[in-house]
Amino acid sequence: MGGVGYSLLRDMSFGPLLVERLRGEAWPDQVEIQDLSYGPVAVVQWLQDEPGRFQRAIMIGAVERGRAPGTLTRYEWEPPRLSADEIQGRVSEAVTGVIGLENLLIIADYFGALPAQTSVIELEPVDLEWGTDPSDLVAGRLGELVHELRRELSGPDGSAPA
Amino acid sequence: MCFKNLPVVFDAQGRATLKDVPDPYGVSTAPQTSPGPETLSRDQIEDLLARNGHIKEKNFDPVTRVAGALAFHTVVDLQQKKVIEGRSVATLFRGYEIIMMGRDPRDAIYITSRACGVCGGVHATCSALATEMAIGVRPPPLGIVLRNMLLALEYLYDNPLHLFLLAGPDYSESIVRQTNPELLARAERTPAPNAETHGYSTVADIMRDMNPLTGSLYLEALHMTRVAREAYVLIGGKYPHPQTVVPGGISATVNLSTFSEIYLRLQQFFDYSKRVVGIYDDIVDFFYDADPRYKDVGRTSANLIDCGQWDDPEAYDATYENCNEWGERRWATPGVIVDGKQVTTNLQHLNVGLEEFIDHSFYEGWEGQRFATDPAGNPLSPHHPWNKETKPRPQAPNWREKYTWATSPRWDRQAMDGEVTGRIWNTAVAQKLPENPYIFPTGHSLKLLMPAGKLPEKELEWHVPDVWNALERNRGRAYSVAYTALVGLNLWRQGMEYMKAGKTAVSTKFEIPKKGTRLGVGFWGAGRGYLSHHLVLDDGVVTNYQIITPSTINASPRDPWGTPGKYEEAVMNTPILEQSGEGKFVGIDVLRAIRSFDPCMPCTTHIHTDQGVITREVNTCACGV
Repeated sequence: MGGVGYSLLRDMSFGPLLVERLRGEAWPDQVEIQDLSYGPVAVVQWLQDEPGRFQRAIMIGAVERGRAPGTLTRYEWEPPRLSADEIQGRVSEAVTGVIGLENLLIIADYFGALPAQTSVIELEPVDLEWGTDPSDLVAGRLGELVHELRRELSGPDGSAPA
Repeated sequence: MCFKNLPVVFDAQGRATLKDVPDPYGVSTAPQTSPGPETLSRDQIEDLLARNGHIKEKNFDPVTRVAGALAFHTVVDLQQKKVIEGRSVATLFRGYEIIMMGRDPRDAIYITSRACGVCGGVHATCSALATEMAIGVRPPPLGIVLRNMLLALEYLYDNPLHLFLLAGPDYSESIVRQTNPELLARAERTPAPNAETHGYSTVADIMRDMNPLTGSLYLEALHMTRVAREAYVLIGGKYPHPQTVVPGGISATVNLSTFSEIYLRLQQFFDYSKRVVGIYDDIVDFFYDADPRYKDVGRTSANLIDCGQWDDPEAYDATYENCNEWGERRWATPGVIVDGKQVTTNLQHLNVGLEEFIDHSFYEGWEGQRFATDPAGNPLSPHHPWNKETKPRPQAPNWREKYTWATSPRWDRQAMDGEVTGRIWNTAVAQKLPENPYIFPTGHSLKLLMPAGKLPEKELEWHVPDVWNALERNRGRAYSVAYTALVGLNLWRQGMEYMKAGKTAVSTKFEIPKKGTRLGVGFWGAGRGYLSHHLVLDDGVVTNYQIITPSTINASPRDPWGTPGKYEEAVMNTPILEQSGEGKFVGIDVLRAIRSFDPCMPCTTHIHTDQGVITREVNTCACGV
């Protein structure tokens, strides 16, 4: 599970905030939790170090798409149809400092670095101000998502992730 | 006497005083400057547009493949193939200077680092230097060496990006095929003179591997950024915002193993540099040979300013009083070049000559002049960064008045180029570099002895160019990779000597004085060129903070006298050589001119003023504004 986003942007920091929460939980050995907010190209290079290391990825972050604030949207990653110029534009942004969930997915996908099964969880932010803590609604979403991911990755007894 | 416009004179002992003239820093008299492009009034431009179908407005918004948000407005005469109007527009506001107000100066390291998503370390370091000067703390030698090394590694990340990911694609096969197919045909039959070094038989082969996303030079540059980043984090902890830069040195723990790990990565740049220089020499010379008018693409007067950097650990004492001496002991010599001639290498002169104007920028002016002199008694302008205040005033752009968030920094009232080649140019002509086995300034060139790797040892030589243009900026950047790698090697050897001698301290304890007014300035550089941070401390709190970056200088709008900034000058001197068919004009010559500066423009950030949020998207580099 990888969280993506800038720090100190309240709801827009949903990815890194979730990583902090996930790290406070017990997970099976085969599950890794990573803060992937250190630049798409660097993340791609890290993924390329060990091709096939991950069978599955869940990538999580806040994205403004005009949905109802606080909405959590989950979908299986399908790369958008982008021209080479558009992908090149994404890489240019990435190497000059742009960090974002979609940017990471597009670049990682282009370079063949994503696991075969990649899911995306997006949060529609409520509060776009700066600060350390998310809005109340999004703080609640953090808890809900942690619970849901625990259940998804837990064994049949539900007490500990399998 | 380095000033020809500022009202400052020097006595026989070199002491500077203000001329006894009324309103010495008034702007009513136009300064003596290098001849620039013909500039037309807005009324004349609008008249031409109305009367001529072949005169068109062409807006590049955003200018892509640059860091951050830059727009460029041009008016192009498609019949005469020339640009008759150019306006550089920084479209977003930064505000780090405002965020710094009222804070503990130590916060500056972490806050100003965020001004850039590429080169945070240079801002962190520059703020540490400014704080050191203000509070009077001198780092131990190894702390200085490590700080130097950190920044050398940052440039080894930054410069390949420019050469192959941002500006480089402008010379790739895919772009040249689209805009100038006749050049590509010529490139196919032109042998590459440096084939033995870089392995490409023809210039077209080079161009093919410069193709974005698929070309091996593009992909290799991406890889080399990783090599540099890996070395960087061994000292900095993380990239791009280091966690170990502090006033008084560095807070990292290093040992011989750290040095070995750094060397393993640094040495990869020795062969890489030979190839990069060979590639760019071949590309630049090919364009000149194909059409000498390429010498005019991005041409400007050769006015370059650079603070120098990479301090001598035995000379640097963090004082303003001694900055002229320790400045000239740096691994890059500070200096100002006017019309191709170096006029000073003196950091106090460089500082005293600075002014920042906001006549065409979205800011309000300020009243009064808090500091009439610098700490050494040299006269200061009311427009000097220690006197300037940042007062944003968002408004609609107006070409006659205000049209950008960038300001107009000037030195001796002349538009300067803060691009990185100023670093090697000043170093080459000053001939003040500390003795070392690799870098040799000759007065007209810089010889670089690259150690053997898989490729044999090779001496590279960068020559002061006879014309200053887009291609020479890119060539200079290529040589800067080699130069920086050798500075890194010198630093590595220096660091090892201190380790062997048991001089392993990396930081000096300090306290922030809680009483009194103190001034500090960080004279440094970025991968892209010039960088300075000026701060004022009152009773231990920041009461003014001013950042000038290479892109602040280069992206500047017109000044009070109507002199364009360097992007603007470069574009207005650019001939349109593109051969794209009717309706397919992409403006590649204009884009080459702009991108050659490696623009690093404003990211936006969470800035509040009394009017509320100006903008709240946070993304990338804020170097420009």
